[in-house]
Amino acid sequence: MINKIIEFAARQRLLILIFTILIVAAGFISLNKLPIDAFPDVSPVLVQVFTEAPGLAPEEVEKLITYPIEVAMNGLPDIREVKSVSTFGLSVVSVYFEDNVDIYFARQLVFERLQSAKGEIPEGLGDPELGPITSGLGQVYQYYLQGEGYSLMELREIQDWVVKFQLRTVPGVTEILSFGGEVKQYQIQLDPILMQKYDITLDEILAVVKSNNRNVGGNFIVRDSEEYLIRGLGWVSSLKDIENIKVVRRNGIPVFIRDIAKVVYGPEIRRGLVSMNNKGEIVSGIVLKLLGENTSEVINNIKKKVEQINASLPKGVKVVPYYDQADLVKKATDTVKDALLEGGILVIIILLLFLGNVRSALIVTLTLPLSALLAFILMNYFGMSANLMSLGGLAIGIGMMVDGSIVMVENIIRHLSEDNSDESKTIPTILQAAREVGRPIVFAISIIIIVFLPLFTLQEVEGKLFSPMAFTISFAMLGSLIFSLTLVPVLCTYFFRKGIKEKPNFIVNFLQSTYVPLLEKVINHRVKVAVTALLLLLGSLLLIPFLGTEFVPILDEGTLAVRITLSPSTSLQQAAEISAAMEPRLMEFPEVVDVISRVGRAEVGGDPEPVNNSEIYVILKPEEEWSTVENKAELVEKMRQKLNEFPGILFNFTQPIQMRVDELLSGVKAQLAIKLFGDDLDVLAKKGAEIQAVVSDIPGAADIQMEQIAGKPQIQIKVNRDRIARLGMNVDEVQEVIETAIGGSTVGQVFQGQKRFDIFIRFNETYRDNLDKIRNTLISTPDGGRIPLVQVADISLIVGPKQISRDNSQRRISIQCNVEGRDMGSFVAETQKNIAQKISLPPGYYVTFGGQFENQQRAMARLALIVPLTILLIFVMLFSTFNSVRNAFLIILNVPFAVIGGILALFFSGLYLSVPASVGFIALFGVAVLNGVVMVSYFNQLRNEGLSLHDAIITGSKLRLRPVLMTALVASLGLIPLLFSSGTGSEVQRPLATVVIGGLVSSTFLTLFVLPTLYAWFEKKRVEF
Amino acid sequence: MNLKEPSIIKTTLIILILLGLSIYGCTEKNKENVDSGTKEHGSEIVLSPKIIQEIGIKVGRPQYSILHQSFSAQGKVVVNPDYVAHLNSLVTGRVRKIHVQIGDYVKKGDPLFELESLEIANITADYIRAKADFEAEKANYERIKKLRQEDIKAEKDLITAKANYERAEAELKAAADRKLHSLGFSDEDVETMFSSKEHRRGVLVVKSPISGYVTERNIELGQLIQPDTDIMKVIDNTRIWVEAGVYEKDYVNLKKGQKVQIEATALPGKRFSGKVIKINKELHPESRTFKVFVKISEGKTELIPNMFTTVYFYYSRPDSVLVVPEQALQFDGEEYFVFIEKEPNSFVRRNVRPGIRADSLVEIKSGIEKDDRLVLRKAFFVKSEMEKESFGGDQH
Repeated sequence: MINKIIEFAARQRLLILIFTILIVAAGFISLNKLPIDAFPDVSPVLVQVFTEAPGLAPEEVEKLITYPIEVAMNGLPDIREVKSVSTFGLSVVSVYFEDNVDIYFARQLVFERLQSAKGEIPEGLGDPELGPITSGLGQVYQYYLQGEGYSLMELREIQDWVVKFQLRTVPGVTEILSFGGEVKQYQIQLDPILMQKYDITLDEILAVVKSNNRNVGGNFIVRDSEEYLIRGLGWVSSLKDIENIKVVRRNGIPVFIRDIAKVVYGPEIRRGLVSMNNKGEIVSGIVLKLLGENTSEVINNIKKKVEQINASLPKGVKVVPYYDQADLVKKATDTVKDALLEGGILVIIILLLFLGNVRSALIVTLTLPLSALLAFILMNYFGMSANLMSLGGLAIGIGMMVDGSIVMVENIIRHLSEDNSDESKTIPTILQAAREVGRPIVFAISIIIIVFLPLFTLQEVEGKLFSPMAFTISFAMLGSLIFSLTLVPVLCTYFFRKGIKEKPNFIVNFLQSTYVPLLEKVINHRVKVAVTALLLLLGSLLLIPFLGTEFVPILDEGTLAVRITLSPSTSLQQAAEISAAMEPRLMEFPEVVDVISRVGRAEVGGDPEPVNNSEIYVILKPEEEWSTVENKAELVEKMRQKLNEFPGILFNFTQPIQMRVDELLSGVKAQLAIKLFGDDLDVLAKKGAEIQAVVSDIPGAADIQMEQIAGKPQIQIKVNRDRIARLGMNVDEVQEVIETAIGGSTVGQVFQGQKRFDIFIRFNETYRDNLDKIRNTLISTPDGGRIPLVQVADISLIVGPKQISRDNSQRRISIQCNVEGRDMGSFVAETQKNIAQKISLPPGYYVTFGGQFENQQRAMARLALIVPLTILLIFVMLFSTFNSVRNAFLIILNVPFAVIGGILALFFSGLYLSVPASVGFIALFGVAVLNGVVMVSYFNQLRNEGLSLHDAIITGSKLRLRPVLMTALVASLGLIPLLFSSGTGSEVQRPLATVVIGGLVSSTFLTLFVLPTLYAWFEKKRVEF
Repeated sequence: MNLKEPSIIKTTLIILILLGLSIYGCTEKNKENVDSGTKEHGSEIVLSPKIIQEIGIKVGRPQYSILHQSFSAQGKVVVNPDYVAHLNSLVTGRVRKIHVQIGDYVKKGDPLFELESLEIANITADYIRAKADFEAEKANYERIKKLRQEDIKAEKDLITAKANYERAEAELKAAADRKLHSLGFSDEDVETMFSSKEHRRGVLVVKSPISGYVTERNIELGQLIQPDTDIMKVIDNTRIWVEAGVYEKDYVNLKKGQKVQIEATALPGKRFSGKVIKINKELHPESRTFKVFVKISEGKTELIPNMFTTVYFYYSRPDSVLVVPEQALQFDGEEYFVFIEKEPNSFVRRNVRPGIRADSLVEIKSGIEKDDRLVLRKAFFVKSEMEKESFGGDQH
């Protein structure tokens, strides 16, 4: 099979060349079509159901809205989890599906079930809607409207009806969330005193406003031979129209709305605002990218559209971006591109040095871009995106990609140099040489692909993060396999047509002359060697407990986000003032470009942030331009100190994407989330506080925050049934006043072109702005009288729940924290122990641990199972190849040897044992095994050729020194750029590169010395038997 | 000069200490107050002077003050019923002439309108007849009396004549004079009845019984008036009261003589003062209110009858109580508390018992003394800082 392929290639050389050119072309086309993202999207398959219930307190939202929706969602196929948050005026139910579920199918399922849930939600309370189809990486572009001399209301109108409308048409954009400013409403601000005087009830007003705002169609009439459509125009179109609605007639004199109310443009009740650079409020927008779209392309399209929009906006108004992910995408891909390029150059240098032949180095090098291009074609075919991780796979594989062709070229050269008699024999010689190494190459590359198998089995976040890497490596390896079997021999026939004479290579000679005497010495001290190796292995294994563990290092996004949490009772206005006070503190740093505070929440569809929360985006200059601080950690520390001055705030430094992704993954915005489940909110709050106290005593705990579930003051109005019964009233009559008069309600809309504005009715603020006035709110009695609210209801002031969070239909509180200066694994272990010891929970209450730590545990558990299996598989493959358990075992021994260097490298670099580090180990195993194969198979071959055991080992080692060193050097030097890169994303690649490089050093050393020694020992025993 | 030096040193020292504190920033001393005598608990909260100034936290002493509490009631301006005159006719008649328009000011006795009526004519005729009768009987009686004195006539004749005379007089008075007066004729009119042709024709000139403004005029020239027609109304709007409906809940705080302030919807921003003069002791069953009349202290006002008003009733305990601004008082769901300044820039929570509230002030019944210094403004921040550890973060 393999031989047939090689023979076919040799016969159809032109065809192979054409085929290669086609691949190059297709590769470039694919590269251009590949979606480019910064990071792989680890967001789960999530459908969110948002229900806005204006004015409703958390308890009612939970009972009346969240609960029916949650119940309806239960039992959907492939569902993983249902989470919900019920907060003031908003219910968010998040339905998590298994990763293999198509998002549109999932939405379809949720939507169907939602129909039945809708029936359960009391009429008029709220209309559940599905959230936008986006992910944690979705907020790709954020902007504000600059407009001097325009009011916040005017700017918001432009945002909602011009900018948003147009941006929505950009392909790849799924939604634009308006944030900040004031939404214009036509407000009817009722004067209850005048209502009383004219003896008008709330019901009457609601009814007349509704029945005076309608356009109708009167069909058509035929005039002569033409049809005339008939329209009845009755829509209100201005404040005046509303003012002139007649409410009742008293003594023949009509009483109009204007007689009992002020009709004005007013702002919609808002739960969020945005301010910037200590210059006050702004109107902003967040563009959400449709799931799976090409980030950089979408951003480019948005930028183009924004130019168009800016040209069409009123004079002085401009859309100004303050955050977009284009930079980040560029930086992340640049990091990998640089690494690829630099790694490539290093590889070429090694090849030149070791092969000592430009032509052969060129042929080998060619396989690099070709394999990469083939990988792009396959990535495109499988719908993968180019990002830090998938391109990182190429960077990691760069050394391994050339292995196959190195072997091929080397063998061809060797054969050609040996048999250099005449030109006509070149091609058969090459064919012969190619056939010889065909099988070993296939075998070697299969092993590398197999070692990456465990990565394919990773689940959830780690799977999404690392499987692209495994895919691209496999694709590229497949490419390198194909090209080394086909293109490389073909190119050799062209390049070496005139034959080739291997020149003596000084470097190789020098190395060989140093190596062989050393080996001779070592080989006779096999016990010492074995013991030393064993001791080294044991020693390094003993170091493992001292290695910190973490999931994945945090990727630097280049933008900071500060989450500020205030007392749960804080009003929006107060929260905005406090955020505004933070802005100058952050702007003091010359590293800061812009500071944007987002207080509360945007339109429905974004994060359901409460008003006592703000997210401050701190846009930073590129790190090269920093002047007062050395690095980001220092900057954050200084900012932390600065913000700490201010009393009564809690804050947490994070990054925009990280914040969003963390939130989507575990519902918390920190690395570790301790969740306490139970029924009673008070008990949850109390026990939660105890847990918090325990956690804060553990060294390494930082940014500890307990979820705010309580602390929202309430004015409870409890209708007294006895009293209303005496007056002949229903509860509803009282409730309606509370709902509409105090809370306000929308009674219709005003249409202006395509714009539409709500008509909102409510008591004038002066009649409802304090407790006393609410007590005295008048309610109409059936007798035609009016009675103050306090006479029919008990009004009390309490502090109630702020939000109710549920996971799988159970109430919970979470305590989140980050870990600083310490590894996650040991921190969690200590936390678990302390909580178990110090806190006693009532029956039915229990604690779970989540967050990144959860991912890490799951990933490590999975790897702990799959990696040994893979090694076993490799062992079986080796066995089937060598037909010898001893040989297979000997080669497998290279794996632990490789581990030694990897662990030492981690230990001395101070990096943690993370998932990327594990991936490094995996890659390392491949190279280590290959080196072993190269050595052992050659020893066997030489012995078959009749050499004695000792001679076979010495000669074999000497001859194999070059390929072993080359493989190890290209594999490790290819990674050197990743090791020293400080670009975006290098945080993830660094542990990987460290492990591989460290491991290759030890593994190479051991391959060169220990392996031959052990081989001698193993085989001698057999010989002696 | 020498004397001042120590004070300069002192000032410098204080500034240095303040600076030191501001650099020190806001930190929390976890000094638990073990002393159970005071009701203080929790840790001391220390804020830097710089922050205190930036936020606007104000520290000061509570004050003694009389809290003016109030409740309000809806009402309308009414005229003191003593100064309202309704004009109507006892008989059917036709309007002959109208002297005034709505809004005209009339003095007492000014003619308002004229009515001509058959009945009046009849009554007038009756009167004239009675008068003639009376005159005749009177003359007859006097003649007989004279003759009797001269013993010309018999005693019996005199008695008859006297009886006739008295009957005629009674007839004149009862039948004619009373009727005429009832119809609205004045004594003068009656006296001039014979000289005035109009009167004889059955014309009644209706005059204003009081000085005031014409507020109703329901007649037009030539209109036929029935006895049940309200023809005109004259009121004296300088004599106005405000009628207000006080809800049951406020009844306990209602007193005769109570001071009130009145605000009219039509006159925004203006307030008139007055006092309660009458309280209706019956609860109106439909409106569920007590009717209360308030007299306005100012003599002349822009208030016009039937204007809608809101009446604020003030009541207060006579003694002054310890009060703090409402901003100073904080609530945690169970207890009310304030922040006491232990030493400069260092605060500690103390539970208090609040009393009544009025004018953004709140009475503190117990918990603080008048010499305590406490956070009067922006106590919210101190509370936030105190709760910081416990209020936790936000997650979903």
